[in-house]
Amino acid sequence: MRWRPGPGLGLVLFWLAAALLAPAFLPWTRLDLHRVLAPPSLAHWCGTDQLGRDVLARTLAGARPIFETAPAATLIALLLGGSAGTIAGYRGGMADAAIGRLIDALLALPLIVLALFALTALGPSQPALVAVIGLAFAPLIARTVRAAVLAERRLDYVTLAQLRGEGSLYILAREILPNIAPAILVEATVRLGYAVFTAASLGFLGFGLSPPSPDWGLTISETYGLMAGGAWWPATFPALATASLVIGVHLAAERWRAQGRP
Amino acid sequence: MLRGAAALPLAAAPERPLRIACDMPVGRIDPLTVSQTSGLLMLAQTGEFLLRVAPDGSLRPMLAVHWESNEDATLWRFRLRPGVRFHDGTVLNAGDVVATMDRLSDPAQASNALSVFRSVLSPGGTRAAGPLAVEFRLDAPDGHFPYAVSSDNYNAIILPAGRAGDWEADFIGTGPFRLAHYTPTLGARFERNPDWWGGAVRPAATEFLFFADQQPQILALLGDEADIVAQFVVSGARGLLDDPACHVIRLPSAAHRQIHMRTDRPPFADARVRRAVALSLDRPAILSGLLYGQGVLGNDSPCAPIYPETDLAVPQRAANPGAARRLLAEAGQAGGIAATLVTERLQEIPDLAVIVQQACAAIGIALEIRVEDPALYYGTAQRGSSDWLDSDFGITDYGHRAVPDVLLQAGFASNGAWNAAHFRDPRCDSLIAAYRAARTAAARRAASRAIQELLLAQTPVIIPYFFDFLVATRRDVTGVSASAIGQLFLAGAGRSAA
Amino acid sequence: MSGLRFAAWRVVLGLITLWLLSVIVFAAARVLPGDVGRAILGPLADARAVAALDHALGADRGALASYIEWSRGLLQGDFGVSYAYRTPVAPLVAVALGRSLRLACLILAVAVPPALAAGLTAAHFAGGRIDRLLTLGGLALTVVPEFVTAILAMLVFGIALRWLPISAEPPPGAGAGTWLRHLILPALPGAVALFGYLARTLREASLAALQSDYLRAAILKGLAWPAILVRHLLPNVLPLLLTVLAAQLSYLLGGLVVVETLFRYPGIGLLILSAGRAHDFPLLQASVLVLGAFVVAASLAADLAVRWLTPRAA
Repeated sequence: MRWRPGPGLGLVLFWLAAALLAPAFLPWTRLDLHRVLAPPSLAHWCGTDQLGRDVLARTLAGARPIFETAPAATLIALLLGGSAGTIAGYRGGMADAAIGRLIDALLALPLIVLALFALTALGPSQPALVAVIGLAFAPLIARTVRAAVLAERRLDYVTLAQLRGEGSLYILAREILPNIAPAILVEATVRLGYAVFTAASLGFLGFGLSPPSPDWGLTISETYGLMAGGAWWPATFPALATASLVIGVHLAAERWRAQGRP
Repeated sequence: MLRGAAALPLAAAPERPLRIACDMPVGRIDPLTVSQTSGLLMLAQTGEFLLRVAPDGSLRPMLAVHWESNEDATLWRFRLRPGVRFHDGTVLNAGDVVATMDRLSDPAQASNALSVFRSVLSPGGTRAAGPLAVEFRLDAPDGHFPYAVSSDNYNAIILPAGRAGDWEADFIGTGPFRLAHYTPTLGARFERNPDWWGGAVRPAATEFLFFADQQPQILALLGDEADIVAQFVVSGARGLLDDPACHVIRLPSAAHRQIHMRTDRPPFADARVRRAVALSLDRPAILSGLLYGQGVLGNDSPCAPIYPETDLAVPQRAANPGAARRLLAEAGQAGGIAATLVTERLQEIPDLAVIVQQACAAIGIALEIRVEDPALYYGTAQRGSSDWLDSDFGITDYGHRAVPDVLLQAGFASNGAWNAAHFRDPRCDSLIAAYRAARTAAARRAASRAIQELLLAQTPVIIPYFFDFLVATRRDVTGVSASAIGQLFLAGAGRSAA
Repeated sequence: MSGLRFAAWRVVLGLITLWLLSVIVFAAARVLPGDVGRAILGPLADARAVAALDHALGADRGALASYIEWSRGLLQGDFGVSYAYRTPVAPLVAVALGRSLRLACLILAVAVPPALAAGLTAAHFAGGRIDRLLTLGGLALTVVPEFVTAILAMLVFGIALRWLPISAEPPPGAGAGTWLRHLILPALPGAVALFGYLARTLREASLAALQSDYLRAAILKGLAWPAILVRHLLPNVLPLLLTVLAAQLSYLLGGLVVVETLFRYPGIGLLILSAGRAHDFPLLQASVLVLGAFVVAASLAADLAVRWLTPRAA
């Protein structure tokens, strides 16, 4: 079957282009205190925010921090959780028990506590935010990966490889990984969406990025309160952007799974 | 037409309590330690002070009916109101006042009033001079001392002599309301005190609803689940200003945001650089765009226009980017400056930081913004472990005070505990001392003018605006009285019949 | 391993997890800037007052000493005294947890049945329009932050239409009906997010089950859809549902700070956040640990139920 790009990839590429072009939108994100909270009009298609900045330009520019944080956080979670889960699932025994307890303990720790500790102590910065979200997601991924590895380990092809005398690393990389990759990929795309959402929630609780970052999560948490006064546009457009990017990533991953898998 | 009828509380059948939405007090409500606005709001429901600050800033009798000082303002005599009873029936006397003030001024106790009483009043300085007469012997002259025992020093509600740590059990006081019940984190209910010395109390009961954020308080008001929002900031609540269902009570106040610059090290050690930053701001635009006009312009000193001693003839600083760039060039900084602006995530402060950043960018100062959790920003509130006191450039919130004495002393004296700009100027120190010791309005006015001019010339801090204290009520609520530090006095409040 | 021995072993593991959790919280709490006296008295308070308060509360002792003392108290069933509230911690935690449990139960009741229906329907019509709508709709719902859904719900149902109260706490002495009315709006944001997540997860699981040889054979044999659903599909999906729900319990109990804030419903999430902000370590420790105990217990219960439902699973 010939591989065709779908609407999902289109959405992702659109936001990726916006992220790359973000500096070009900067002239339109200047604040102007004489036109605060102007509703959508021909001059400002999505209106202006509480500082008179163009909401459309800021939403487009907001793709950049998203692409800087969400994939990085997901990647950290994949690396941390993936390796912990693999070791636990493949080794079993004491390693499994120890890692299992740590995973459980971290899962029982509410995200707010993690954020409170890390972001209050370190101060708000992009790397700190990425680390917190990555750390929060790692145990979930570890669990998924551990279960997948555990299931694969019992299968015949692994036993065969072991009988052939292959090393653990080789078996993991060449035999098991290709088989559990789809499950990990699904988990990763889900997490990518949640990373954006989590950044927004942390922003609401006061643990987000520093202004004037056009980050969608930060913007939504700064402006959701304006909705009560009728100014729905500063929060709605970043929320729609978040949803569209996540849906795009999901669709693209699904299509890749259906068509592009070797 | 039914307005008169509603004012008679006895006429109606069990009337609905007056519902007040307010911030949630975190932790024990203890007159000794309270520092949050939500806590001081609770204190003022059942407790009362020797004096009360009227909305115009002047002092009015409360539990004291008369007060006077000696020639150099080191000895103050107060005469108490006779026949005042605490909620448990005991009669207020001088011993209660002495016990209250001794506790609040004791450095060995966890007194939040210590920053007001520091080098003014010590334990033992308060003495009974008769059953209803109290004498305060001060450590230093203080012409504004009565404010330190007024509602402006919100910890200083008068408690019965024997009572201390367990205030939360019954909220004992002398005020128009008695505690019915208090549920931490959720709310409190108060009932009319029929024995109040001040006469009839209009509401039969008041009910305070605690919220952890401002937004739901406003929604509760709009949804008619609250009659009053005890306090709100206008950013994020602009809709209330012209909502026909609501009424906004505006009190001019001295509350402000202070932008400090470290005067003891580069890049802001040169006063010309600091003046340049101050000249970059378009204050009228900030006032209208950020605060929707709910405040007045600041002139880079804590001497707010509401203080009668403030000299309003001192010229207001206005935006002048051209002059700012020239000043930077004179200071040898034409090539530009880079610095970090550190501040706290509170109300409109992050937005103000963005405005300052853009204004500074226009004159060649590149600021990177770091918005922190207030706990991180203040840290231990000691130099060396506090971003507030250590940062080169920061924005800090300051609440209202009826007199600027503490703000001047702690904020601008060389040894001041809140002196984030690390400003050291012997002339400023002596001017502040002169201001505090002044006994006549003219002397204090002269000192105020000198301080205002000195701070404008040196510009250790920028104060772009003083914002109004705002209370929102449903349209039909009348008789609400408030103070700009956050107290509500509800003895005369109620809903008029529709 | 017998069921009983398995359960006992899991309880031991759970206790180890909780001990680990307490160590993590205790160690991490030390890195928070500032101290409890400063948090209570505010940044502008005099340093002498702060020192006096820290000493009076016993907050100026060493980390190890206070951990040992705290553990000793806990073993005797004493959670200690809150620094900020200066009252025993246990009742504060119990009240907040009670609120959170009620809300979580309501969210589950509102979200699970439709999510189950949606997941199964989507799997049944896999690839079709309904499936697309449910999958993408569910995905969009899970990524819209709760405070956006919450504010929208409050504005529409609470203020514009006046159908429901926007304050979650009913007046004292209210009956079950009033109680439910007050809690519907607060349950909505969590339910919406959970619905989206559950429906998608269940769709995947049902799809996998439907494609199994076993069920394919049953379908080919002409077994009626209701019979397939009840006898084959549900038993296949139920264990996963339980596991997923147990994993979401931490979020449902302690993660709804936004909802608790907006609907004036001070539950365990808000308690944890304010305890952390106030440097109230006894309260923070107790609330995190009690919440952790619930999460661990739920995951244990889910595992046991899964074992019971699918005897072959090891």
